[in-house]
Amino acid sequence: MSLKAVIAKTKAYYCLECGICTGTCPVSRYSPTYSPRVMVENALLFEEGETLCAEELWTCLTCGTCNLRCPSTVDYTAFMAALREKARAIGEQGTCTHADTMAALGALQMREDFRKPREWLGKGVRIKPKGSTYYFSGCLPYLNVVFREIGYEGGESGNAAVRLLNAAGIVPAVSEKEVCCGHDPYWTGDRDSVRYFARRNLAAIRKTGAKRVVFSCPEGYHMFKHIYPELGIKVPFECVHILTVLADNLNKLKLKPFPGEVTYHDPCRLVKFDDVFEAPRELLAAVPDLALVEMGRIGKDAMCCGSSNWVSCTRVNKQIQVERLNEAVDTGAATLITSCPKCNIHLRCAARDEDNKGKMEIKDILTLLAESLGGKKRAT
Amino acid sequence: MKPSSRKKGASRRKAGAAGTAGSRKGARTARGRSGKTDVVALACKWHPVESMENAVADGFTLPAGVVVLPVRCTGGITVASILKLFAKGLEGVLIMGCNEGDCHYYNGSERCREIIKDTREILGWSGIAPERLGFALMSGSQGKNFEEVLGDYLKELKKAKAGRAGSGRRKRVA
Repeated sequence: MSLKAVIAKTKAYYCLECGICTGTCPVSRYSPTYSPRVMVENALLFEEGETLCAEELWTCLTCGTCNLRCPSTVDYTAFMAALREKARAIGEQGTCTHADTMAALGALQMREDFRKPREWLGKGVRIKPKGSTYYFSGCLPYLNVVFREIGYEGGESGNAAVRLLNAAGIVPAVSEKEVCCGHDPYWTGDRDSVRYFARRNLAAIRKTGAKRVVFSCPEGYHMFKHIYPELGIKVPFECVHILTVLADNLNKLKLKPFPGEVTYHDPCRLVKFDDVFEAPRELLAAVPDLALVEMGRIGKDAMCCGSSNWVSCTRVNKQIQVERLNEAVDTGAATLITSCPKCNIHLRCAARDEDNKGKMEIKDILTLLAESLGGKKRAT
Repeated sequence: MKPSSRKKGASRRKAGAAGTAGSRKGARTARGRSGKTDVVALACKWHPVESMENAVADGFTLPAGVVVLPVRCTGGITVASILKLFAKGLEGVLIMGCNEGDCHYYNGSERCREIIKDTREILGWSGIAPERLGFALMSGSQGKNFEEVLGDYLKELKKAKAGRAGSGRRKRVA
């Protein structure tokens, strides 16, 4: 796609330079050199090379706040994704984070003999090789290893997801052949990898005979629901997020009391792109003795956790993370609940700082719900 | 192959180029150009490479399909660099470092041990037997060390290739 076509497709030429995007952008707040509208202006007025080689191209979190606020309905995140694809074609790349481990993992999953042993789901789960509902876990087992040093347990939330599905009367199919959903390659401009991953994932799921795919990670859900069809890949399954499934089957869950106050962080992919807002709140409300204290900015106004796509983790990203963490601390709740593994990792990282140590416990919503399983009464 | 200092430099460059690209052709082994690289050995330039030179001086030749890449210190190897080598379709990767306490940069081998532990677990969760990633520490004084380590590793690799890959948790290696 040429730069002109990108501008036409995302309606970037409608930009009025009103500055609402810059005002709402979490990055612009801490990085004075970054502004979404300046990126659009550069693309419209200057030569292609200048836009594509700009370092700012990789600072965008693709959180989608500007999309929602733009009065001219410019699709800024799609504009960014297309620009990054073009930049990648001329050899530009963002600064990798975590010593490039996550990108290397993506590359490793392209091996023909790649296989994800089911054992990682742990004990107490009921799964089967074939079935009408499929559970897509994504990169959870690897996050478990890479982020162990900050106390993140991805395996726990995978185990929790299946146990909750079991409790709701669903025995999901799990395939060893599934690979990365391609979220991070897509948002860093590598669409060929996404197509490859999509092909392998769809083949693996088709083999299980599933009609419905359940996701526990908002990013995988977003990819299957929006990006694969956008890239011309037909997804012949119904895609649902696990929180929606659990909220629909709430009367089957028997939950134990979990005393205390918690606050909930809305992940961008889940709430801004897919509108899963009520389900987590219904589920938390169903846990006896648990009080949910909302932060100032929730739902579509919620702030991004600070970094995305495993690129560019700078001073700016850290400040965004700390701002969101402090917002949670201000509610007075002891625990911060998230439903996205990446938000969990990033907020955990902020909570590890000397200034913020011990202020907040970060927990996955599925882990919390699974821990409170085993009550006597059915939730209502 | 009797390495003179000039020749050694040349082969080092070649091996480096082949290793970073992970290309299957043009990899230079002791037997000359072989068709396919199966195993890449990342050897610390201090003790292990010295040991290799001693071994070569004693008439040892590298088996076909094995490429040795000298690295500055095994402490600088990352999880990503090992995974990227496996991503290129290699059968195995062997990391050779100096004995703990002999590290030229104080604690490289200990750092590498941590990295190996994590990488093996990731490999286990990817359907690749963790034993395919070898790790050995050695002294450079004798060529025998290098020969033994490489021989043992290749035997291990053969066994790992025959069996089905286990999970990382069961095969966790200290």
